[in-house]
Amino acid sequence: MKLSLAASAAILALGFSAATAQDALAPATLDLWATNAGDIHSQAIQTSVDRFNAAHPGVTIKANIIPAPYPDKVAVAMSGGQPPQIYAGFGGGVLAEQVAAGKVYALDEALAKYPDWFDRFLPGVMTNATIDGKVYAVPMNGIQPVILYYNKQVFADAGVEPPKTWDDLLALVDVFKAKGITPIAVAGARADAWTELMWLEYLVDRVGGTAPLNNVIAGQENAWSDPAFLKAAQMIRQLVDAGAFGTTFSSASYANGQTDALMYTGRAAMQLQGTWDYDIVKGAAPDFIAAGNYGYVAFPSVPGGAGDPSALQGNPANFYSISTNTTPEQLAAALAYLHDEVSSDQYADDFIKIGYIPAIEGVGDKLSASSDPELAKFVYDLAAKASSFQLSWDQALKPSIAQAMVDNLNELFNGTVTPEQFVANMNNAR
Amino acid sequence: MLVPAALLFGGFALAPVLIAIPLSFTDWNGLSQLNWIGLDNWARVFQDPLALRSIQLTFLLTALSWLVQTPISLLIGVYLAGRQRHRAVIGAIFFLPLLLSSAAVAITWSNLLDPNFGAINQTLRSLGLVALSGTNWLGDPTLAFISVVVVVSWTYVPFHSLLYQAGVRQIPATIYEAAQIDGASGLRMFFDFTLPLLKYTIVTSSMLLIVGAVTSFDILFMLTGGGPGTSTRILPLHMYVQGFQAYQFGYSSALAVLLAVVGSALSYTLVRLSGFASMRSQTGA
Repeated sequence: MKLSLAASAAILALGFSAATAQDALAPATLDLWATNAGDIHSQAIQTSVDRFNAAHPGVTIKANIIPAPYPDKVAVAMSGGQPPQIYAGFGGGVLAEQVAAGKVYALDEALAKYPDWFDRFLPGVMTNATIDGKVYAVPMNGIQPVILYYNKQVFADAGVEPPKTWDDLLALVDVFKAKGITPIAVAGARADAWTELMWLEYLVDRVGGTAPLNNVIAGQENAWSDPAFLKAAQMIRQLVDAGAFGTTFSSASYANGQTDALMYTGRAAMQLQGTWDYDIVKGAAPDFIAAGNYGYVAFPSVPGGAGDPSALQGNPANFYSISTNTTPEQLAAALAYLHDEVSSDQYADDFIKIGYIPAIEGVGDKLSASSDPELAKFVYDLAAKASSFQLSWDQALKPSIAQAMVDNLNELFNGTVTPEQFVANMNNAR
Repeated sequence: MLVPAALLFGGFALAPVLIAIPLSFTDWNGLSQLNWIGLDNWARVFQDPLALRSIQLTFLLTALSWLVQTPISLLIGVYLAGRQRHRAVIGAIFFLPLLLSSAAVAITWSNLLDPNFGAINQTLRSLGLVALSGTNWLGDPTLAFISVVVVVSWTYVPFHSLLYQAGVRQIPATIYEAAQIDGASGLRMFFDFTLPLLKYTIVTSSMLLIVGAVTSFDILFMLTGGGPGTSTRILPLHMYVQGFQAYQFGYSSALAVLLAVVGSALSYTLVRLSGFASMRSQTGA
């Protein structure tokens, strides 16, 4: 029989739509924001985005690697009403504020389409992306605890071993001071004062366990009067007064790579930093890393402290969230990117290859493919046996308290605020 | 004729300040709903030691900037106004800092002033001044403030020199010729003729300088971030930190309104004191 033009057109259209209904995404352009954790990390993000764009003609995700200070810029974009469609974050208190303001898409709503999506990830890490029982973000790089890096060459020349306890650390300070080497590099410039925070985080945890911070997060009255905070502040002053950080730390910066430079030029012996720093140093001084001179140990224990010495501080991961600033087409594309690409084995393998440990179940078996298998294994073992893994405090706390904390800590390090004043100021912070 | 200018001014200058006034009576984290809290933010402004300190630091920066920049700009402007050709060449070179963006200036200077790797300390070390070569230019509270004044002055002296150069060029040469015939020395000519005839240029330059210092943000933000601690956190910086880092836009708006009031009051006072409002022609007096 002869089909009419209209009928054949209708059949064609039906066939066409049946074929494309499966996986095709409507055309959309999206902005993706991620933090700048060094060129190697940025390249991995770009590769992933390019791969997704190539597989979905018509959809373009534009990756923007945002230089420090990243949280400020997200805050500005959100309050201006034009945040990017996909953006990286650290979870915790900042994410909670964004969720409370209705600015973040609840990924749970996509579970109908993607059941078992979140089962893939380590539960301990997902707690940071779960607010009031719903998931608002998925991990996008890897587990990043804070560890104590040391210059192996400098240590070998001085004939000493990396510290296992607080007393070891104090002894090392005297050894390196005598040799004219800054014992510990820390970035005390105000814009990088979060690097000083890592000292407070670990000392409070080692001395008082996880209860002191949890009481602060719970909003308990005068939570900062817990003796652990005062003791940690005093221990920091002890280090500063002993010359552990040198004399010019109050203007040293991290974002400009200066404290890293102190480490790889052998002018400083130790630096407390996150695992992201390894990649950054690799980009800045590849020979130093290739020679195996950037060593690392867990933060020392504090004898007599109530905290578990296996407790970790740092970033369980960076997470991608989808903002509510999306058209339906953008939302579909964003979900597809987060599920099909970011949560894929290929993506995880890419990040393992550049030295990260994705927060997925069973990742321990894959780490031999890492660019730095020794570091990856070390970090994985630390995380696997950690009694707790606390998110960096400047992200975990409510922003106004976090701000006051970093202000006061910077002043504590510089000696313009005493440990007692630090505690008093923090109790008064709102 | 005035409408486009008035619209621009109203839209970008007046409107934000007017919007900040009602915002200052709210508690807003920038993301969720506004909560009206009445005068709480304003009470806090006067009790918060950081806010009071930032106001003091703002005044200190303004005063120091004026004391450093005005004499230098004046002398350079007078020098550049001379008719010799080489002075024009020097003027062109000297103008360079003004062409740089404040971001470039701040980043370059913070690298120069870095205590470990910066060029200034490296030079001091190679000159044998080892004790000085460890100076913590941006990390010691007092030195950081002085460094800020130096960098800001370095950036803006060329601009004010330009104003003074133009002002001096407008003084008729006949006045100097007459004075020379009467036997006046160079110094006397400067103090008795040049300075008084530059009165309105000085007022203009000072007004721009003072309002600029009171509201300066970019160079300080990128050079010290308000640090070390809070020793260079002037009012505009405190306002930014409270808004975009502590997510307290209500309190930040109160600080913004305060800044607008202080800046306006200073300009108004300056205009009144100098008789700028009733400007009289100075030539041919």
